[in-house]
Amino acid sequence: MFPELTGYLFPNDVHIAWSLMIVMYPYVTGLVAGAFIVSSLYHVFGREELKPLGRFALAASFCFLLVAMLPLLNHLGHPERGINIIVTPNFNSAMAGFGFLFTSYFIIVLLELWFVFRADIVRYATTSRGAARRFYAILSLGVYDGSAEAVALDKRITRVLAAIGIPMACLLHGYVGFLFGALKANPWWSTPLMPVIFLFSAVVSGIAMLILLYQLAMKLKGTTTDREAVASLARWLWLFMIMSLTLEVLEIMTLGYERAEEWEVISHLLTHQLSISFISIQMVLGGLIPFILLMLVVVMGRFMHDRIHNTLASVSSLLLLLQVLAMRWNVVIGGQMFSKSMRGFRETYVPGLFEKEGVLAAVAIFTLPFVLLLIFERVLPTFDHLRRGPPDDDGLD
Amino acid sequence: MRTDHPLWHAKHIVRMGLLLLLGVTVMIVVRSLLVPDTWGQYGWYRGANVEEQRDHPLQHGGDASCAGCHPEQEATHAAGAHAAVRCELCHAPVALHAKDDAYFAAMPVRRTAALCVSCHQRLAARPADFPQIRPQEHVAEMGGEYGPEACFDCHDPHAPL
Repeated sequence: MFPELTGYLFPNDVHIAWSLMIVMYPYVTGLVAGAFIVSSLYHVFGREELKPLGRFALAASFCFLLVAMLPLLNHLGHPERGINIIVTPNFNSAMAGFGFLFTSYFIIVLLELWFVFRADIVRYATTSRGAARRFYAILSLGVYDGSAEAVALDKRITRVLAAIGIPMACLLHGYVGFLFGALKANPWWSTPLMPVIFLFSAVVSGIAMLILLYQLAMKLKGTTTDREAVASLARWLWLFMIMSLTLEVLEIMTLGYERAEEWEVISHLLTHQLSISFISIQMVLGGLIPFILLMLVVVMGRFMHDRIHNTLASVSSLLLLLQVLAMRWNVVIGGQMFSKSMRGFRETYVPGLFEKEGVLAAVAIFTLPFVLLLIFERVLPTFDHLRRGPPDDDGLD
Repeated sequence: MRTDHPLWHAKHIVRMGLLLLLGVTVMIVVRSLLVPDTWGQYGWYRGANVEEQRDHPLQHGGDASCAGCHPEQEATHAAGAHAAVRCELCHAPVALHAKDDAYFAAMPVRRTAALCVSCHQRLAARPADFPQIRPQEHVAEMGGEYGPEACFDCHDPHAPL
């Protein structure tokens, strides 16, 4: 009921002001950035093996982006004021500066989606009937030019947008890390590594989520999973998880080796309050185990039956999604479990089930992007173009 | 006329460009509506807010405003350990309860342990001679059962101890 407190805390250190919602926010934003980067691997870097996911990843990124602000709106209250950050961004506040990034990234994703799906939209606008026809007509902006020249133009613009989108996605999520990294009063947050760690873990969570979502989508559609796509994603996932985990360990190593005054509280934090979420989940269950599993998938994958290959990749992805969630939790909540005095701790933080910012609210918010993705898939199927074959499908789309 | 030039097929791009332009214009208009007129008058805030804050009707009346109708409680309170704690700190502002010295609504009740521990939870940062407890432990020691109103089984909030 009341938090157990030990040591020397200032009265304003007792309350966990940044709740579970602030854990969810970087988690969802990370999925946005990660999914976008997967889509760019195909759209910009031409990784052909990821073609089955090019559109799907972009749609997933968009759906997560639509939900990204919700945890903040719930946390802060007054959701009607949320629009202010979009229309009155400014650099006087680190948080208000985010308005620039979010708006421009949102526009880029929206534009890229439109150019990627435009040929489809035009086709639906001409082949469907009734309300659907009107809907697609509006989406097409009334231009039904599906000619090869127009499609070629779309593809060129898509590639440019995707290329601009990569630094934007990196900035979007790096900025979330920066918000923590720039808080110099808090030694658990204040490190220039923070944006980088956030970025890499974002890519990890994005790829992991796509490995799972892609296989689930294929199951729901009753088609076979493209093994090469999963194998490629698993390779990228392995690379990014190694970098992400290494950076996370390096940060602790630096803190530990420097033995500066903050190590007193941080070492206690890691071995007590965060012992399960940091050591057990972030490092072992979500770090070491998927590292080994993915190594098997990457190094010995070609000797594996499809089913084992994809299952191992899925299990690793699930564990890595948990790892990234634990990492966000450890950063956000961990940073509020000790006092600014560096001499006192709050012992536990358990979010309530039915609280305004509790577990149920977090689950509800996290379910939303998947519902949106289902609707998106209904309106603009992301896999159909693969079946149609060469005429509509001649290159990067 | 040549129709094979790529620009001939850029009609949809022009439309999207116009739509974007429209979006930006709408944003600028919304922005101009949302940013208050007196913004930046004195600094990084709405200038008119200073006057608005000044013109807020008073909510709190101080202990004297309570004593008129509740002399008994006032006497107990003044003699007790909470004498320095103003009435409206635990109760609500008098404006919610009485107007022009006349009752018009019941005083909101905040009889919760949460209110007590907001001052009395054990914290090393508080002065050593200030009464502080670990709520669950304290109630257990006293042989009681911890609940939202546990404190009031033994303590009179007007004159505790």
